[in-house]
Amino acid sequence: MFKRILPTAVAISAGLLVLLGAFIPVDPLPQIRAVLIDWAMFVGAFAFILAYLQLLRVHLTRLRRGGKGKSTSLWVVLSALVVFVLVLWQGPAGAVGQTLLRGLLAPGQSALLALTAVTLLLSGMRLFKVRRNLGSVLFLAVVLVMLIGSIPLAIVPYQGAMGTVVGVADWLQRVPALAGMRGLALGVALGILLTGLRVLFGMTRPHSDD
Amino acid sequence: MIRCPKCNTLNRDSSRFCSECGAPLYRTRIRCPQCGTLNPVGNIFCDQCHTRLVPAEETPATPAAKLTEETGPRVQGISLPTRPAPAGESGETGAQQPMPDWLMGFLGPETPEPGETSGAVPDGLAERAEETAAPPEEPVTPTELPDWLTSLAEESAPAAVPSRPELEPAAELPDWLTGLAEESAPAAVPSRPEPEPAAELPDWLTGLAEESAPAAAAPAPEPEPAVELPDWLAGLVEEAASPSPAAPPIAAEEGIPDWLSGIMEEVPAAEPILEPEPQEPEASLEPAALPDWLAGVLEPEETPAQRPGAPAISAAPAPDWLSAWEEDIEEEHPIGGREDLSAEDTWPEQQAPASESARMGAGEMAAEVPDWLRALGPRSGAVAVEALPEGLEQAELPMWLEQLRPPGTAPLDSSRAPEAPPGEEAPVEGLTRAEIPDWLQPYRPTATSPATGTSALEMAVSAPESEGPLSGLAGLLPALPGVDAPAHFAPTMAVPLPQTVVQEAQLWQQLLEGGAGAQGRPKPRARVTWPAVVVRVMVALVLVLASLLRFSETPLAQPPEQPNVSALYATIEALQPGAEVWIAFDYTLADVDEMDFIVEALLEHLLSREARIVAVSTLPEGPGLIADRFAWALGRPDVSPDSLVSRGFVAGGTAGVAQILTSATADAGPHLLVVLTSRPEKLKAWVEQTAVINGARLAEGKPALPLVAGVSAAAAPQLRPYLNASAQAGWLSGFSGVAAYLQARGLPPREDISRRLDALLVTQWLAASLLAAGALFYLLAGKQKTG
Amino acid sequence: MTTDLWLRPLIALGITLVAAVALTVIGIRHRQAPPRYLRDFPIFRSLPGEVGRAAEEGALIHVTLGSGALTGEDAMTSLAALESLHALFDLAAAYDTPPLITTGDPTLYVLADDWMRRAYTRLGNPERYRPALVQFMAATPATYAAMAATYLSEKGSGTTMMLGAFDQEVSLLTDAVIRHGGRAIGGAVSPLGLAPLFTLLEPQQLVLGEDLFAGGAEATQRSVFWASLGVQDFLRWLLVAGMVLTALFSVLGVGGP
Repeated sequence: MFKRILPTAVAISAGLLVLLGAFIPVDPLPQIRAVLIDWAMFVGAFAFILAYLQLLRVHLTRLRRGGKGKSTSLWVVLSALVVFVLVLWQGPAGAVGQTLLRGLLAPGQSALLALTAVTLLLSGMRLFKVRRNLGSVLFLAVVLVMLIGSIPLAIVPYQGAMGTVVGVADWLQRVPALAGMRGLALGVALGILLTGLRVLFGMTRPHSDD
Repeated sequence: MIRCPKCNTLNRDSSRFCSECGAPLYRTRIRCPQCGTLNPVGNIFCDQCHTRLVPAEETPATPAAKLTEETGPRVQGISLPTRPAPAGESGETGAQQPMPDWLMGFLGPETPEPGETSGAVPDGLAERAEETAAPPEEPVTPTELPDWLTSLAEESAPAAVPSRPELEPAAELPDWLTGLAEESAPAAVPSRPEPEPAAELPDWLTGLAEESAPAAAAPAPEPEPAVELPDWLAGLVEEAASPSPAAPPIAAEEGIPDWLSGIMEEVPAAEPILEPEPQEPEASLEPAALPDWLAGVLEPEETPAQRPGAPAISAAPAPDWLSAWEEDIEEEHPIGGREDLSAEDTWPEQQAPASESARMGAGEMAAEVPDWLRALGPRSGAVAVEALPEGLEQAELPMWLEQLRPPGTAPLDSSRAPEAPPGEEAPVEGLTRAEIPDWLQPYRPTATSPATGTSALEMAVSAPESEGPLSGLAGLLPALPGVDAPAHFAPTMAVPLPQTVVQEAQLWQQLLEGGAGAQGRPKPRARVTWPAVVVRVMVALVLVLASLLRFSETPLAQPPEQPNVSALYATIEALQPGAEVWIAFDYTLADVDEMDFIVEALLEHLLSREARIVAVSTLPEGPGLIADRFAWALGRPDVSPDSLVSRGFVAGGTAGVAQILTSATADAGPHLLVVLTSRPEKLKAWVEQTAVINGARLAEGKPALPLVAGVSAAAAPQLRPYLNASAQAGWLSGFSGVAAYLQARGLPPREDISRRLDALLVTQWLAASLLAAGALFYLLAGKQKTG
Repeated sequence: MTTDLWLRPLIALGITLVAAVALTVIGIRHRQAPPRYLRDFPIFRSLPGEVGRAAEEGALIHVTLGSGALTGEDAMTSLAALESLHALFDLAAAYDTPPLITTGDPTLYVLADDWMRRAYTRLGNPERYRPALVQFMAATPATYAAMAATYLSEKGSGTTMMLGAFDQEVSLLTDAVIRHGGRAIGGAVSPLGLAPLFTLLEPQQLVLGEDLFAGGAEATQRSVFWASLGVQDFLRWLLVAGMVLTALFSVLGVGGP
């Protein structure tokens, strides 16, 4: 019973204090809120350490067991340890950190994001293979209009067809796309609100067995 | 989760009705109240913590218990039931317990005892019993049963009694048995009615009684004419007859078997046969005058002093017909271990009653059992039984039974019984070979089983009986060796498993231990075919080439007008020299290439306005990005390091943003806030918190903090409403925004930006073309089957 | 402007209180009677079937929870995704076909690990839980998606479940699913994440936006989740009514500019 009640009590009280501190700017609520958020950041940072150790354990286990992916795991373990030590020594703004950031991390991340353009295009090409309905037709039509109309060609006159396409693209972006996204965001916000309230009132306890 | 049988909805474990359709749910698991473990419904105890899950009163009674409660114990054949009374009811034992059916049949149709049912005897036995049994002068009612018979009924346990075929009641007891009943009549139970007077004895028995008890206090029963014994019983008599030096040859003279004559000699002369014996819980037996076959059962050396609370019995093998009692015991109460040793598996006086009263009753019963019968009971063996309740004794097993003792148990003293060579029946002194009745002949086996090397069950099933009235019968289950097993008895599996079953079980065990996981999981067949690979490669190649190649010297792309860019320019242009500008570097490493252009364009303009830059980030990679951009900025002329300040990383997400703004606006505050981000939620947080801060500033009479933003092209569509509503001081996005900003500043277009814009335009057109081509292709090719 | 300073937090507090009261009232109401269906979500109904199929085929279930940090704005999205998969954890542990759960955030990794461990404990088999069942792959979304896609191609997967806070990086995962086969279900709240999922998944395999928050109700069938959905709908109608009225008043010129 103690194991169930204490985490729930801590979660509810902390949540209420942070919420009240956000709504009611009366001392000492904002200060308590700031302290609790700092504590949450500490816990998050510790979770980072836990996750890092778990990553090392998984790959070390794979190294020990052998098999496929062994070389990848070796690189992962080595790089994780080396970078950790170096950045710990020099700090994130140090030379090593900067070199790694600009020379390795940024290009890698950019490349991965660039890949999403290819994968998005390929998945768009396969759309009619997965579903064939009016929604898919509309989806593709909007995509085509946006692709063509977002950056108009300078060599093509702005009036006429190109102008129409650009105008339609702009209208699509400003009205239906935006409206849909706003509606989506409102619904998600409601869901986030209710999920948070459930956790706040202890109706659902992700920290325990309920 | 419980699945509804009606609508297949998943319901919570504690649900009793389906939340979707309301159908009742059948609980497939029971949650332990102690530890919360989910147990199968059939569990009585929790698998985890062994807490009782089902209340004791809900524990279903075993079929045997129900049988006993409803109909009484059933018997089969001529075996005697040995069920003691139920624990709660055994305070008054004896007459209140239901009589065995077979015995009721012998006693005649009048069976007033409650709870009795009639058993069934084989037709042949019943007929012969009817033929040979002389009707007694007065029918012996169950209430008048001698103690030894009643005590046998009391031994019947209510639990685990398998159903037995009913025995049809015999018309009447044979005289010899009636005589026995009348002989041994100790008053074991106070509620037991007075036994019949001695006049009920058959003549032949009466005569014996008169001869051996001249000083009998009670009137001797009128001797009855000698009873012609049935063939099967005559056979038994012949086989069981053992020469007893002390036994006069009465049988030869008067037709009384020797074994019976031996019994007669045991009867104390001073006591009437049917009078209850005095209540002597520790009465000892006088084995001196016993026939050999009886003498072997007893232990002359045992005295009450040695075994307090239990009568001494001589060492002698139990007769076969009595051994059959043990077989029945074992059949109904298989022994599973020391703790399973229950009262019903021992002789009456050795039972461990559940209650104290029952224990006392058993002692009383033991005291009232006739000596000659007590002598037949199992004696306590050489090995002490640990934890046996007071009064229980070890029985000495016959040789054939001792051969079935499982390994690891203490060996019995085998010297008391002659060893029977395999294949031969052991000669028993004093016994003549029985004539097996015709109806029993088919059951006679042709060979005996080996003594050792086989399991108990195999021996039981394969080895025919070699002694007693059941000799030659095969398939009789012997008493389990565990009946009188010592404390360290380790029961073995009764039924040996075939090797294939064992191997299969081992294989399952390996599978379970090894997990159903990685080793056995088949990898799904890859659905990529070479055309798909070609298309993939072609698409990537086209996009890359389009990005790298320069198709025209003049720019191909013409960025559309962006009023937000003009507003941004105007806002920065309006800054006074030395104005403090806070820049939030909240974009990820993946957007560095695009955001670098935006950062450079804005930084360049701000530095040209001699603004003091304070950089901060709410992302962990922010400080690195800040350092990198500051390094670029410091490479420009006329840029002082004092004009570039980094506040590093502030954790907390939205809370961190609030913290930054609160600290920034503590004093005069910045003149401008620039948010550089590629994530919509970051800009939302900044916009919202800035609105809060501005509300407070305005309330204090301070000017509001203007916010401008530089966002990636990917995030712009989502952020447009926020930007249009909140960032009224201007914003820009993507390469087109940078190009427009440079144009608004009157600067010549940068070639690198132009090239990127052109590449973007070309790839967008190509992507649109590929998209249309692919859509057309799959539209004509057909829909994919989804599985 | 002073009014704005207090009005916005007041409105926010008011909405929160209304939601709390409605949640309590509707929750009590649903406790007394089985809740009616609000909407049909075949994707959540298919979860037990996926587990059963994985048990039959001996295939892997790969659950990707995204990069939504529990200390950030995506905390509730990630929690909703976990709640949707609650029943899957129990079933998978019971069938001994544990899923591989990958996350792109450390705090989400800790929570997912705890939930999976509890699923085994509830079944009375805590010793069968392996820590490698839940993995933190990378700290950045794109790297996480790439690592998850690589794992998928290495290990193979019977079913890939992509539920959580995703952006456009989920297209790397969808491409891996296309390349290496297997079934997939997914859901995201961000339009950037929904676009690639929309092109891969059929309607019954996809949840859009706030439908992700209905997964807990479908998975656990608990009245509190149904109450939460009911309050969501109630507030949605309130918002719709408010927006319509505001637009009407703006058109009619009531209430000023």
